[in-house]
Amino acid sequence: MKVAVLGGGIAGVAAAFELARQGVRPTVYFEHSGSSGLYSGALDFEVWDRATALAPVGEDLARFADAFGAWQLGSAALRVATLEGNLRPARGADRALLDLERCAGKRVAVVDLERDDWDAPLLAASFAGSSWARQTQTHFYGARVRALQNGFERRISGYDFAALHDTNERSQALLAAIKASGVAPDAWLFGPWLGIERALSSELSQALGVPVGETTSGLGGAAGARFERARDRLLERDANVQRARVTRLERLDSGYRVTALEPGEFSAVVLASGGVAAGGVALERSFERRGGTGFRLSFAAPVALELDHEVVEGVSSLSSVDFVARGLGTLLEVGIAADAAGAVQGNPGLFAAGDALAGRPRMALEAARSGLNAAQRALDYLRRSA
Amino acid sequence: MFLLPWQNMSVLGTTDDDYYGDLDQVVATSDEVSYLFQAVEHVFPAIRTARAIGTWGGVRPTLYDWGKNEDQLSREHQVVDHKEHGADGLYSMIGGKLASYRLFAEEMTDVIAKRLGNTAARRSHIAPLPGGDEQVDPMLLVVRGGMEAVTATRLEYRHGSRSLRVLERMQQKPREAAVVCSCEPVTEAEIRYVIEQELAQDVSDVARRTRLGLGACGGMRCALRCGRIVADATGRSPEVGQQLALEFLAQAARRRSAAVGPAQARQEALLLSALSAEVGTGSTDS
Repeated sequence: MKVAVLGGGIAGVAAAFELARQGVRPTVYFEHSGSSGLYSGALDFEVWDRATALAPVGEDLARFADAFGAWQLGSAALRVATLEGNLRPARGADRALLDLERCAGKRVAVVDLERDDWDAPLLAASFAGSSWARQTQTHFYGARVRALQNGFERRISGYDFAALHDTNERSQALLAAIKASGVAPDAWLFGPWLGIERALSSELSQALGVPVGETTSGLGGAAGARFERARDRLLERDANVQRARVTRLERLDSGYRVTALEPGEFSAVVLASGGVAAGGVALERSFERRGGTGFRLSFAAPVALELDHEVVEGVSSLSSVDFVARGLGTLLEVGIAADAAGAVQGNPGLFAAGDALAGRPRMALEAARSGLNAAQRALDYLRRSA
Repeated sequence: MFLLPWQNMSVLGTTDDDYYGDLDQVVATSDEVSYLFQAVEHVFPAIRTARAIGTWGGVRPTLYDWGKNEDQLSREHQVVDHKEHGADGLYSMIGGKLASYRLFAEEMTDVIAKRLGNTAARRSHIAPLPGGDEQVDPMLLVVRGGMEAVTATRLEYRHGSRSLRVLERMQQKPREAAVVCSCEPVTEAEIRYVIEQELAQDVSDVARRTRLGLGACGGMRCALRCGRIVADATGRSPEVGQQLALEFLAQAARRRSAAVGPAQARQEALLLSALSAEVGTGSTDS
């Protein structure tokens, strides 16, 4: 009754959690974090401007989010400020993000400091000009805070700047700098810099008595790094972790063999190895195929890739994709051919989840839910075959 | 065909095909990209692993000659006087290539000058281009402006002696020393300079003048910020700025799509995901 999960992103960690919760400690193989480690920190089921009503989270997803520990995911939707000056709804968010619904009609200070990737006056103007801010009469303004201690901090990555604040010394210095600003807003909005390991946003909120939080993160920012920390903690508890590249997934007479640094044999497998963004699906430029390119899974596996319900990769496929004609959005749609619940046809005991699935990009919460579902399907399969 | 270093990348080209379509929709095709890769890999096998970060294309009129294919047509240029066609004072400039643009323009202006009775000697071959009058040591920009060496070198390469005007802005407004596009790199001062002094009105204009957003990341980290700056500097709303940025990103993605290879595919997918998290469905695809 051994189960392997391939992939250490949101879908993979959700699958591992659910398997462990139901008594099957899985082996999780992953090399990098894929696109989850690069996410913005906002949690959605759909692209946010398409999400119509407040989607119910459901018991299983709420239980996972609770165990995961890095997210705020309650019964109400949030409103988050993005790194590029938009105020947008989100079903949930990384805990460090400021929920502006709590600040409606109030005065929000946008921290103004000398980082190159941050322009507080223009951002504050952009937030203030949004329809939400005008409707709720929420004010945004830049407030100078001397939070940089060295010249180089102006240009280091957002992740590095966030990590600096994990030390007691720096977090206390930041609190002192905020107090010294002489500004007393109803809330403080920071860029994605409030620590990786420590919950600095809640520490500052407590110390100042007003909400303090971040905007969303850019690629490779603090939110993704906090995802990785929470993931590592959960997997340490719930799974055997193999941080190694999987090179082959083979079907045996009964079950599957995973080839990696330490190979293993499993009764069921959850494929959550990501799409093109994560490197789970690779694009090959074939010089023999005139003007064409082809997709393949980044490791050998008995599965077919699909695009618009058509198989694009198989044993003898010569299909190619013309991005000029089809658009680059194609890159987000290619994935493993599977049924609506993630079962990979012709492969009993193999279930796909997250961006590895063909069709369209999976938002964070949908990826988590598909991971939970794949785990449930794998458990059902094991019970049936036992 | 050539493969040559240009700014901080290499340029591989060119192809030559008949074109009968919309002149505003000229882009390189996948076939042309494949042809270039295949042709150059005999000499540079490593081209297979190189990452194509963009393409560009244009249309030039060639001097027509019956029965010849496009490769055999002359690259010569010609000023046609339409007087004999009954249109005195109307001239056409036909043929030529980018490398001979100045000479061609000079021949045309000579005709016009002569017609207008202007006998002054031609001088575009001796007059420096804007900023080309004298060399500025990039280290001067580093010392006086606090720029990083690579930023200073790129700034001087693009603007020559006019980089001193950008430096002046930075000294007056230190906030503008912020590097907005880190691939090239481009500072806020340079963006505001090309808006105020070089007629840039949108993000694509800024990109053409500075190469902002045309480097390895495809504008992922700088286009939206640049849009806000353009909107601010031209008295428009942040929403308009965002729209300008999205237009630039869509156009640039369309130009890149003919050449997307293995490494760039991940970059493109990440860019699209990051954009949809930021601005929603309006961002994805052109």
